[in-house]
Amino acid sequence: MPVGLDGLAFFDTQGRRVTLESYLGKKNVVLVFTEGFGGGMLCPFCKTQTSRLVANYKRFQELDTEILVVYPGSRDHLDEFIEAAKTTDSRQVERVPFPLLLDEDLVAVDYFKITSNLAHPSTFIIDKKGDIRLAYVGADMTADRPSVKAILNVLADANHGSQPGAE
Amino acid sequence: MSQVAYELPGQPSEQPDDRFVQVALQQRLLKGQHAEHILEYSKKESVSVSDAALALSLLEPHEVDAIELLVHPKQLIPGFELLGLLGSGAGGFVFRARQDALQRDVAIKTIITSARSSTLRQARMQREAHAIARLQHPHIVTVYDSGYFRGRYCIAMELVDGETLTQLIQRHSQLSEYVTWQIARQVASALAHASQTDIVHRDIKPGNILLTNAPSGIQMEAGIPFVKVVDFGLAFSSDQTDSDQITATGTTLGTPAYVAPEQLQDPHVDERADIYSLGATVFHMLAGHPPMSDRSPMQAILHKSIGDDRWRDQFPDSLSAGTVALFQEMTEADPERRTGNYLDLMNRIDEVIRELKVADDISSQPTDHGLKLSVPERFNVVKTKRSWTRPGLLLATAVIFALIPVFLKGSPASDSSANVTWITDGLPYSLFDGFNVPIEFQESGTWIPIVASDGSRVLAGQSGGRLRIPMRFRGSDSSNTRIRLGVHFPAESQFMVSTVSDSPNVNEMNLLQLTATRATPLSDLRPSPSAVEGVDFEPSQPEDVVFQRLEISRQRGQIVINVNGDLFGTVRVNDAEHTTLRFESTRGTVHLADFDIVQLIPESPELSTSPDVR
Repeated sequence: MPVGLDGLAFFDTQGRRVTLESYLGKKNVVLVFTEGFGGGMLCPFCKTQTSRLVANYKRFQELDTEILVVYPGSRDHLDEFIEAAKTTDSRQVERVPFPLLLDEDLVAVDYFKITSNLAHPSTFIIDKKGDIRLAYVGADMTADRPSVKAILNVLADANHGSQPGAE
Repeated sequence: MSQVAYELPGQPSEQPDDRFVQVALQQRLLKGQHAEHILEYSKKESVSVSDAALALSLLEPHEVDAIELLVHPKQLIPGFELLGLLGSGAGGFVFRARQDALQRDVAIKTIITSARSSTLRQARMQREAHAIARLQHPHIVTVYDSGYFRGRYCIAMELVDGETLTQLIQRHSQLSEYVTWQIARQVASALAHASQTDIVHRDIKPGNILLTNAPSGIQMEAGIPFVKVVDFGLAFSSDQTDSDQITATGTTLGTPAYVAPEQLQDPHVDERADIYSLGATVFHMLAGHPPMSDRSPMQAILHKSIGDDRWRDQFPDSLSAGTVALFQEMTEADPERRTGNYLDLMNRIDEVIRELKVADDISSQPTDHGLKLSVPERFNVVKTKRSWTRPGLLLATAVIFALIPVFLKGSPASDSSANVTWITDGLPYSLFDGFNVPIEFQESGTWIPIVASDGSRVLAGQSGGRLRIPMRFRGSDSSNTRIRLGVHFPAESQFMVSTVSDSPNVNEMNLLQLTATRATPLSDLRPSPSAVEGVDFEPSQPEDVVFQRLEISRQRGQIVINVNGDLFGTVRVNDAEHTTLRFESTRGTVHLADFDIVQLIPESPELSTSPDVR
């Protein structure tokens, strides 16, 4: 586990403190950083990615995994983001089923070295031991997020205590 | 290893005759249609395929001998497995071989069957082994072991990947003065060392000068090859008595175009004979053809014997005064009037090199060395493929066997080589622990630690994945570091290395690109001579995963890149600007492993401040 990872803490949209340490040994974590609100708009691909995670949340739960989506910077436009995330391809959900976390001071963004206007869109898969099993850092306003399937594959391998073959 | 271009009927078969043909095809000594012809003849006449090949004149006896050795690759020398034929000559072979115990590839030099009864040739090989064994110099090929095996005298020696100076010259009409003297300087350094141990080479010529990449840690100016002097088979030491000497009767006295006149009269020559031959070699590099190329060898001997040195008049007249003067001094027919020792010679060469730099308006500042030279551009068209199974492309040593007695008068000389050797200081620090994405280095894209098909833990970078690696060791102020990694290409993927800066005003520098089969220098790198047009790899197979080894060293204002242990290229950098490397998967997925960084320090700090350092 990288030094300092278990010390990272966020507040969710309800004001509750969420630490990565609390998941260690219990659940895998898919930590998703959105770009936040920049350039006069919310990153459309971040909204899409989050809604896909919402739509497939059950599959993540089956793999003993929590999804944490981080909204960096000011909470302006947060509600707009949440509404977008709740609209999946097939339906409208009542609530985002996993924590939406705030990183208003960009502490976590700085830890992962993904600083951009606010943050580069990024995804990290952290297994129960705290090892980072996947790291994705995207260019701003691009759609090249790891697919849900790719993330699920890494999680499945993490649960089996193994890592996938390359070929 | 190259593929067999011809498939035997009814494969698989391991019959001895079939194996013989397979090896002949692998070594490209036979073509497919010839193999069929030989097999048909063998069957029809009920003779072995080797006899059939000889009867049909499709193989020479020495080629048959080499193939038969390769058919039983572990039988020649215990502990060594012959892998392929590197070259052959009038009297012997050089094989590439694997030394099992040390897991290293070596060159094995031995003689052909017909020469086994020749005590002269066997003795000459023994002499060569003994001569080189006494020499330890970066520009002289190293002998590991020698002895008689199965009736043949064999020498196991350092394997040198490269080409001969002859081959280099053949690719060009001529070499420039600058490259010529840089090569001559290295040869002089090697011969000076030999001279200190009372050894005269006596057969210096382009065919006995191998050009290769500098060993890891040794910096060479971009475009200048690293020299290895080979074939000390004519060498003889002054501490051996006449009774130990081999008679010259019936043997060649060196090589007529390059041999010193006094060596034709009396084999008891001193280092001045080698200096003459080096001067003749300089002529060949600058003129593009050997001395007296318009005359037969016998005519050359005759002219030299009577003191006719008009061949020197054919020296190109467009050369600098310094070059012409030094060439004349080196090739005086009278050894008493010739440059007499290596210390003087190396000083004179250095002087000419300095004059050439000034004439070309090249800054004497180390940071500018080599960057504005026209010479490397001319040199840059050299291409060397790493296809060692093709005889002649990769030479371990020249294999011309001749026996000449020599008597030497040693003269101390110093090797004032200006190269700085950088060594590691402390242990490497791993940049990837096999389990975690090193998030401190990720820049973009998707990186996943996985287990490759050979079981190794690798960091897989998908297309677009970038890492930024600061070239600074943890807690150190020095940027002199070496970053090392293995790169594996599981499919059609591509990997690029560049430098980046934290400053937005500093441009990136693109250094090299790797694919599963090739490393290619990019625009900002000054490639080594053998890497100008890229270096080919043996592609990795799923059942035999190969990691291409990449070493990127920052050595006081210069980045030096080695690929698979060979110098690939260099680039001058500003220590304050190009502070970080970028590794990028530019297509498909690449696997990185054995990824570490270590501090470098100059081995001899006092040398590193020398104005000669480059």
